[in-house]
Amino acid sequence: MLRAAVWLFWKDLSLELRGRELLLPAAIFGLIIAMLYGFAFDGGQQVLRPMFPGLLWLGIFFSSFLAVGRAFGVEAEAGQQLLMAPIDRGAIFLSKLALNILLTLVLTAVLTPAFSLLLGVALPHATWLFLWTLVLGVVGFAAAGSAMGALTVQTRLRELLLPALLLPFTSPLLLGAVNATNALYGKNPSQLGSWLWLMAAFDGIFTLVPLLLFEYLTEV
Amino acid sequence: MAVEKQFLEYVFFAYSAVFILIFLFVTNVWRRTRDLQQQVDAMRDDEEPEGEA
Amino acid sequence: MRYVRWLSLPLWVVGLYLALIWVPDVRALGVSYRIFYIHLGMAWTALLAMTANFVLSLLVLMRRKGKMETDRFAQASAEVGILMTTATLASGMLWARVAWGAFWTWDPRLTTTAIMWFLYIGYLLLRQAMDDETKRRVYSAVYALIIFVDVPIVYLSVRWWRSIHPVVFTDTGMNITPQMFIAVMVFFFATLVLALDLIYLRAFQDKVRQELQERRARRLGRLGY
Repeated sequence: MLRAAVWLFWKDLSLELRGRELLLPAAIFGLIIAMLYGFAFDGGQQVLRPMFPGLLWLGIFFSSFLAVGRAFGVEAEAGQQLLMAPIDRGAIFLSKLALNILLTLVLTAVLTPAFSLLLGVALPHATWLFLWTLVLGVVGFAAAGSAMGALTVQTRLRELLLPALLLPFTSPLLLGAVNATNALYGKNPSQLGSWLWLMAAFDGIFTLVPLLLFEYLTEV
Repeated sequence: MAVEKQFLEYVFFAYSAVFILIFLFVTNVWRRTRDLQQQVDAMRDDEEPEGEA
Repeated sequence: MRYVRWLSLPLWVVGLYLALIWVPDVRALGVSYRIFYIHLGMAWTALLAMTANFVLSLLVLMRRKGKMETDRFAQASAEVGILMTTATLASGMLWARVAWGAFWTWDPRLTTTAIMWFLYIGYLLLRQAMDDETKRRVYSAVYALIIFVDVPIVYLSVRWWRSIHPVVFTDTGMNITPQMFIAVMVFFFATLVLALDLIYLRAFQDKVRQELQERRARRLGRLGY
């Protein structure tokens, strides 16, 4: 299973490196969101500071959502050949998960400084803890996105259905990420640990559960 | 007394809201089931003579 | 099942009488607390229906036989669960308006219920968007298992979140008198029987629909398509 997953991952990655079909539009979309936030909330004002963690994470989630949604969409449009191939669904899930994690990490690496610059709010001083928060949040979103993407790949109106399934599902992750970031800005800093644990638990559970369940998808 | 009346109105609305929801669900399922059953019966009537022939 | 159906009606009548007339007023809570009886019964039944959906989805995946029937009941229990959740939210919001002064507060239970509502609406949307019956069965069962795992996490996260923010209200430690307990239980059983009946009815409807579909297919086959 692992070998198949690695092979599939390389296939997707080389496709992405050649065409940049996922990353570029998603990154641009994220930057546009940052700009629109600036317009809508009068950017550069001090008022924005307490809202910054929420704005940042919504921006990251929405633009990651584009990339994550496309990862399976590619297979759907390619006539679902991969889904008919005799490959373990777990392997497909793992490869897409790896791809999604990579894409969303790159996205976050671009968007976080961009949000900070455009909205005029400095990033937290505790760099390592902040990086951990970002990674945990993004990995969880990628895991949930891969699971929901796999489940919706064979539906009609896939692009409309996915947000309706994924965004309520990841609401605890959003709460965890926003509150952990708030804690890094000095708002209830004692809570930081429990929020990070919550996100880690979300990441672990929703990497394992789909992996265990997806063998059933192979049967149909 | 006026406050009590207002409260009673809220209680009334809450119970009615629940009843209306259940009523809509039940009638909807009921009607659709009857509709489907009629279609099935119609097909059965069509089929029987053919089956004998 | 046919006889159980008629049990629901007297239970409802008795429940209404108990909750609206028989139980004495509680001074501290005002008349509006009478919403509590229908509210709690609905909420418990909704949770039970979602749990039934989880168990049935598990059976769909694990068992070899009777998948179609099990799947039908899984879908029906999700639908009835959503109905009951909607009723819980509706009655709860009216109660909250009186008791806390706002239709919506970000109370952990309220927020979790709302998110659960969205997750199970998603279950129905997913089912609706898949044409192949076998695939729909397995995919929606997997989805049902995943979201059932998500609900406690949602609850935990919302509770932590609220414990940080200023608390809008504190839980009034409601002392339940024996009378109140009886009224609550009667309403709970009334709702439970109703829910079972509705699930049965909805599953039956789906069976008829399937039969119709099969007959149509057979007829087309006979006509030489």
